This record gives sequence, structure tokens and C-alpha cells, in this order.
Amino acid sequence: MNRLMGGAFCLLLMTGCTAPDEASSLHAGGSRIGLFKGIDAITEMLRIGTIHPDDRDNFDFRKIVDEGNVVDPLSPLLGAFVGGSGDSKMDNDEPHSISMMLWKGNFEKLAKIIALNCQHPDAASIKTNEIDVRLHPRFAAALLSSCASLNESTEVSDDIWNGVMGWEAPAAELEAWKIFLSLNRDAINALSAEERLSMLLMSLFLNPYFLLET
Amino acid sequence: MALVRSLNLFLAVSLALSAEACLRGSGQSIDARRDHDEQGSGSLASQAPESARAGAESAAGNSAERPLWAPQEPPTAAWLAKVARTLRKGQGLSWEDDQGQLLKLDREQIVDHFMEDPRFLDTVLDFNLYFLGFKVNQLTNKSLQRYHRAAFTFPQAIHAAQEVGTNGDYLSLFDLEQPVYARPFVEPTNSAPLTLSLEERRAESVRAIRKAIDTIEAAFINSKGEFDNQKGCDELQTSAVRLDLFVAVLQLLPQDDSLDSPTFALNSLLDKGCKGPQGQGGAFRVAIDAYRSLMEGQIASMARFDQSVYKIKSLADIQAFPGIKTRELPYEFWVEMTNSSTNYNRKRAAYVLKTFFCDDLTPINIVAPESHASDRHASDPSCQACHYKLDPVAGFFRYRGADGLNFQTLTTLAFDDAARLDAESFEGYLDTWKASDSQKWNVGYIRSLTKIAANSYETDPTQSLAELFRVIKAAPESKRCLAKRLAEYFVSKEQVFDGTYLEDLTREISRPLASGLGFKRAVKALVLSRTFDQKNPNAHICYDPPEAQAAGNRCEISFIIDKNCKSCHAGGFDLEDASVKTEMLDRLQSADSRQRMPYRRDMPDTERVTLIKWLDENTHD
Ligand code: HEC
Ligand code: HEC
Repeated sequence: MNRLMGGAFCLLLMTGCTAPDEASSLHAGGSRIGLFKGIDAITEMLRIGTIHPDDRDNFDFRKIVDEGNVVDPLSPLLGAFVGGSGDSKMDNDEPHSISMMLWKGNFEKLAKIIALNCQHPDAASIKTNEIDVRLHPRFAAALLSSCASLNESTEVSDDIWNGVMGWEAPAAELEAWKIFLSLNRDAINALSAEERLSMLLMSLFLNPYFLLET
Repeated sequence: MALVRSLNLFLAVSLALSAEACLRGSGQSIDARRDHDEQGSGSLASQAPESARAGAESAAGNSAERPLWAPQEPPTAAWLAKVARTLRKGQGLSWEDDQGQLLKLDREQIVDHFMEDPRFLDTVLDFNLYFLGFKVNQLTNKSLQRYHRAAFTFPQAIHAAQEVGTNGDYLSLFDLEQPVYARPFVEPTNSAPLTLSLEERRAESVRAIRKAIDTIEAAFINSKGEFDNQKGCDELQTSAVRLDLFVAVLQLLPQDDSLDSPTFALNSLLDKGCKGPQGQGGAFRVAIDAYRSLMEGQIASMARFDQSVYKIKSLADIQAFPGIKTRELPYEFWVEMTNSSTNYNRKRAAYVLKTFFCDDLTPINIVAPESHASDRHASDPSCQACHYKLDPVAGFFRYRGADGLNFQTLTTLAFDDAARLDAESFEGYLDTWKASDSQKWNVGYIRSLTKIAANSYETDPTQSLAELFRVIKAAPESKRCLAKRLAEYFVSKEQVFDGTYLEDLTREISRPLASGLGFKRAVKALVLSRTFDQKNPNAHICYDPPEAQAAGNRCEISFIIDKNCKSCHAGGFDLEDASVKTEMLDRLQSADSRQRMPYRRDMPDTERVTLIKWLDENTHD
């Protein structure tokens, strides 16, 4: 498990995960490329791909991040606009070790909540004290088909991928992910059902195409 | 190849080897054509769609104008997804979208399709707030009013977005006078016992409002039945009465700050009641009657805007209170843009220059004109670099004190830092904006220190704020700024754009009365642009129009040179030659009017700064 979760460190180490030559020129210009999309953009992506259409409005990733933390919410640290300042600027959009730890920790929280659905696949949902939404049936069916063991069928992989990543990431990125899964099949299947699903989700949540402006 | 890449990914992920491995693993070197072919949409003709040509020419009304977008390739899946996300306020493609069908359309049809989606107007609203500098998180939410209250706070943002929806006048964004948008009325939160019915509790609020108005009115009439300014003003100034009234208003309406209009109507009441010769209550009477009828209008709207009937699902559902306009900037603006006894409205002015003119006040040398040498602000050229234009804009706010209250008709002014001017010091303060050689105000948008005619001055000193917005709306710079922000918002913040391309977009959104349509066309042009479709674009290269790319990283400045230098330097400059660039830098920054370029002519500061920065960055390597 630890070995697989090492993916997070890939992000911790990166400076944007763009190719070096481009990274330098783009960052010189102060481009948003390589910066966090921000908490609300991530919420929108999750809503669209993983949540039941009728429940979308009721899902907000902030509520996972800030649960039980009303006084001093952490969500603004994950890339948010400073409202009412006369300057439409996003704060905390620079990836660094602290913000990466925050993202990682909160994605793990979400991944674990979703993974719990192996216990009741017919009513797949995200339930916390503040959220109660059904998962998108197509995404849920694909994801939960790996509860017993890793389901590597093309349709299933595509649906899990699209549910989280949407349709913008390059096709080769999806290919790479599939190969990564198959190369690690044994290790992944050695995990418990919930660990396996968490791991699947984390490998997408920490993908730069999900998390960062590209 | 794929295997090698994925091995890299595997290594990166499982061993956390190095950032470099990650870089390779993130799939940067993908062939752009790949996803395109996979979608099997290649059979559609790559000729320019009919509508592109027709649209570009007819709307331009001038066939000589360049088409806004180049002939389009068939759509790719990734482009489709990006357009969906861009035009639907962050909501990319979803399971509900029929991608197969969509990919059978050409790119223009796809853009049109997404612009029909109600979320496109949310995007426009979001852009408007972004432009105004008050973009918020979670613009739409589950609440009763559906939209973040910031949207209601800046009615121009809602107004202009609705105009885009109806192909109306998008440039209403630049109007000071705006509708006041209603939010669904919920239960009043007054002190009436909860055992009472909703109607009774509402009636209680109504009584409270009427009573507060009566209290103010009564305070202006002394025991002998005469009008008494002093007594009334004292009463009004004590926050107790004002607060009473506000509290009453708030109880009637759902949210804390939804009604700027009555707030400022009250201010005008303050002005009228307190100014004017002692004993003459006519103006006051007019004001309080107006205020009373305003509030009665609100009261009458209660049924219409009750949450049971007034439901906001999309932007088009938002309605304005009938018969009311606000001619004020929102309270939120004033709270953020505070003024102090030393700041003299400069913070507000800096906001205006940055927001509406895209001028972030990068200091550059200026040539102080001889004739104005005695002007008090001209004393130090290094300060003048910003203050020559900052202070005259600040002047538009000269009567606005704490919280934006208008002190024009009063003999005092209170700042946000609690400092107060008496009659004499008020005069002295106002002198800051008096031109030294005349009694005229040196208040306006300054383009030139030598050619006074090039500047846009305030013409009606009794309407300073309205004058500011008149100047903003009339200025070509504000539309150019709008086009620049559009490109930032819809494509990328730091991507450079060819100047002529931005001019084309500017022309679209400047079309009188058709700016809503023009706005859509400008956005359409941006998402159909080559820049938008570029994988890993180089931020210093212009991809639109297609021919601009050949200019390499010069595209950012070639327009500026054409515009400002070509008339005299027809041959242009050899930008390969470092000594030429150094000479240009010197000439652009010289404070000596005989050396400074363009020779005895003005050049917009923003363009001079761009050119200087570019030369500076490209001279030393
Ligand atoms: C780079 C542009 C720039 C230059 C150069 C500049 N100023 Fe300013 N100045 C500003 C801006 C912008 C503000 C308003 C800042 C704010 O309040 O947000 C300001 C504010 C001020 C204020 C009000 C400060 C306060 O809030 O009490 C004074 C006084 C002032 N400037 C004097 C000067 C003097 C003197 C110089 C030359 C030594 C100078 N400035 C040079 C841009 C400039
Ligand atoms: C109104 C005409 C005019 C315009 C417009 C103008 N220049 Fe000049 N420029 C001149 C004249 C006249 C001279 C020669 C004056 C001198 O040498 O002192 C000159 C000289 C120069 C020189 C010195 C070397 C040379 O080529 O002669 C440079 C560099 C220069 N200009 C740059 C610029 C740049 C950059 C612009 C546009 C931002 C510009 N000029 C716009 C009239 C103009």
C-alpha cells in the first residue's frame, strides 16, 4: 500500500509536472499552468463525473475538507479566490509541500468514504455528517466492480477514469494509467477491497491533469 | 513507446524517484492528432463553415475586416471537453452529454450549442465579477437566491450578463445607474413573536419601517411646527435613527446588504435635509417623500418577490425591483476601498485605473510639461510617473467620505480613518484637484500632459461619480481592457496576444447597442482560436491570427511599434541588433523631451511599459 501511495510524493517533488523546457518558459510568464485549479474547480469536476445528476448541488468538496472546522476552514488553502478585495486573484494556488499534504490528506478522506461503498454497492453514495449524495450510477458501477479484485476491462477503466478526470486529459495519459494498473495487478489485488478502491481513486486524484492547470 | 512511458510513470509513482521521472510520466509529449483520430470525426470537411465566413463578414458590416477566426478543423474530443468546461462555468463534459453527437457538429456549432446553455450566462456573470475585481468562490450555490450575494451587490454584473442573454447592451457593465435586483423574500427576522403568522410578522416589519421614516421626519420639525435643520440633522446623524431604519429594512429583506438603493436614498435625504438654508424644508420634504415612496414600493413588492413565487433557477430568472435604480457603487466597494485623511482617494483611483483601464501603474519616466511646471503634483517627476494620472482620477471621488457617503452638499467630510474636515480644511482638501491656473477641476482620465484635448475631464462637478462612469464608458481604453481580460479569462492569464487580434475583439464588444452579440462573438473567437486549442502553448508567442505566429515572441510588441513608431520610422527597427534595442530603451525612458520617443507625441503608458519590459527582457540574452 505504502509503495503504491508513493504517487503522492511524485507530486510533492514536482514543480508543476510540465516538461522542463516548457515549464521554465511558462512559469517565467506567470502562467497559471502548473498551478492548482483550486478547490471549487475540483468540486465541479467531481460533481460532473462522480455524483448523481440530481444530487450534484449537494456535493461540495469543501464540506469534506472543512468538516468540523467551521471557525478556521482549511479549504481556502487549497486555491480559492479572495472575494471582495477589488482584485480577482486566486490565493494558495502554488503547489508546495504543505499544500500537497493538505490535498493528499483530504483526497484520502474522500477516497476512503467512497471506498466504503463496497459494503453496499446497491446504494453507492458519499455520506458524511454534512453530505449525503448518491454516486453517479455509471461511475459507481465501474468503480465498485473492483471490490472483489481489480477489474481491468477497457470499459470499466475508461468509466472510472472519465468519471474523475473528465475528458480533457490526453488519451496517452489514460493508457499510461491502465498500464500502471496492470503492471501492479498483483500488488493491487493483495489489498483489501477498500484499500484497493482508495488506491484507484488516489492514483487519479493526484494526477496533474486532475489537480493542476495544464 | 507507450510502455516506456508507463514504466516511467510506474517508477515515478511507486518509487517516488524524482520529479523528472514524474515529468515524463505526465504525458507531455502527446501527439495532438491522436485523440482527434480516435474520435473518428475526421471525415467532416475542414473547409471553413458557412457561418464562420458569413458571421465574420456580416457582423463586421465591412468585408475588409479580417475574419475573427480562421477556418476550423473538425473538433477533437479534448477540445470539446475544454470548450464545455470553459463555457459552462467549470462544468466540463458529463455523462449526460452526447459526445458522439456533439463531435459530428463543426466547432462553431459546438460553441453555439454551449452558449445556449444557461451556465454560459453564469460564466459571463463570473467573468463580469472577475473584471470588476470582485470574483468570488462558489458563484452559484444551493441557497434560495441561487447566486452568491456578491452578484446582487454588483448589479452591473447581473445586468450585463442578462444583456448577453438577450443580445442587448453588454456595455451596461460600465453604467453607474443600475437596476436593483431582488432576492427572494424570506421570513422577517424582527422581534415579533414567532407565534405570529408570517403575514403578521411581515406587517410588523412594515410598521417598523414606516415608523422609522416618521421618526426622521418628526425630528426635522421643531416644537413650534417649523422646519429645523439643526435639530433634524443632529437626529439623523445619530446613528440610532439610521440604524433603526436599516434594521427595519433588513427585517423586510432576506439578506444583509441587498438594498443599496434605499441606503443611498437615505443619504440623499441626509444631504437635502441638512444642507439648505435654515428653516426651508422644501428640499427635505421632497426627499423624504421620495424615500417614503421608495420604501412603499419595496413593501408592495413583498408578495411578488416572496420565496414561494419568486424562484431563481438561472440568471434569466433574476428580476429587478420595479421603478428603482441605484446610482451608486455598492457598499462593499466602499468598505474595501477606504479613504483616509492622507490617502485622498488614491486607493479608489488605483482600483479604477487597474480595473477599467488595465493600467497597473508601473512607474515610468514621464516628461513634465513646461507649462504645468507649477502644478503642485508635478513637483517630483518620480512621483508624477503615477500620480499625474492617479490623482485626477481620485478627484472623481473627492466628495466621498467614509463608507462612500456623499458630502458634496455638506460643509464637512468624514474619512474612513475617523478624521474629519471642517469647512476651511474641506476647501483646502478640494484645492488638491483645482487646476492651479484656473478655477477648473483637474479631475479626469489623463492621457497626455501636453495635449489637454486628449484627456477626458469631468464636465459636471455635481455628478462626479456618474461622470467617472461616463468617462469610463466612452473611453476606448476600457473596451480594450475588457478584451484583454476576456482573453485572460477564457484562454490564459499570461498568454500574450497579438495587438491587432485584441483590437478585433475590442471592436466586437464596442459595437453600440449590439455589444451583447459582440461579446458572444468575441468569446466565440477566443474558444475557436488557435491559442485555445494549443497544447502547451508558449506564453510569449501569439497564435492568432495565424500569421502572427511567424513573428515569434515579437508579436507582443509589433503592434505597439506599428502604432506608435511606424509613422516616422517607416522601416521599423532591427530587433536582432542589441545596440538598437538598447537605444530604443533609452529613448523610451528618457525624461528629455528632445530624446524621448515617440518624438513629441504621446504613447499610452500601458503600451510603453509593455515595450520597455519586452526590450529589457530581450536585450540581455
Ligand atoms: C508606481 C506608481 C507610484 C509612484 C511612482 C508614486 N506613487 Fe504615490 N501612490 C500610488 C498609489 C497606487 C497610491 C494609492 C495606494 C493605496 O492607497 O492603495 C499612492 C498613494 C500615495 C499617497 C497616499 C498615501 C496614503 O494612503 O496615505 C501619497 C501621499 C503618495 N502616494 C505620495 C507619493 C510620492 C510623494 C511619490 C514620489 C516619491 C509617489 N507617491 C510615487 C502610486 C505611486
Ligand atoms: C513623430 C515622429 C517619430 C515617432 C512617432 C517616433 N520617432 Fe523615433 N525618432 C524620431 C526622430 C525625429 C528621431 C531623430 C531624433 C534624434 O536623433 O534626436 C528619432 C530617433 C529615434 C531613435 C534613435 C536612433 C534612430 O533610429 O534614429 C530611436 C531608437 C527611436 N527614435 C525609437 C523610436 C521608437 C521606439 C518609437 C515608437 C515608440 C519612435 N521612435 C517613434 C521621430 C519619431
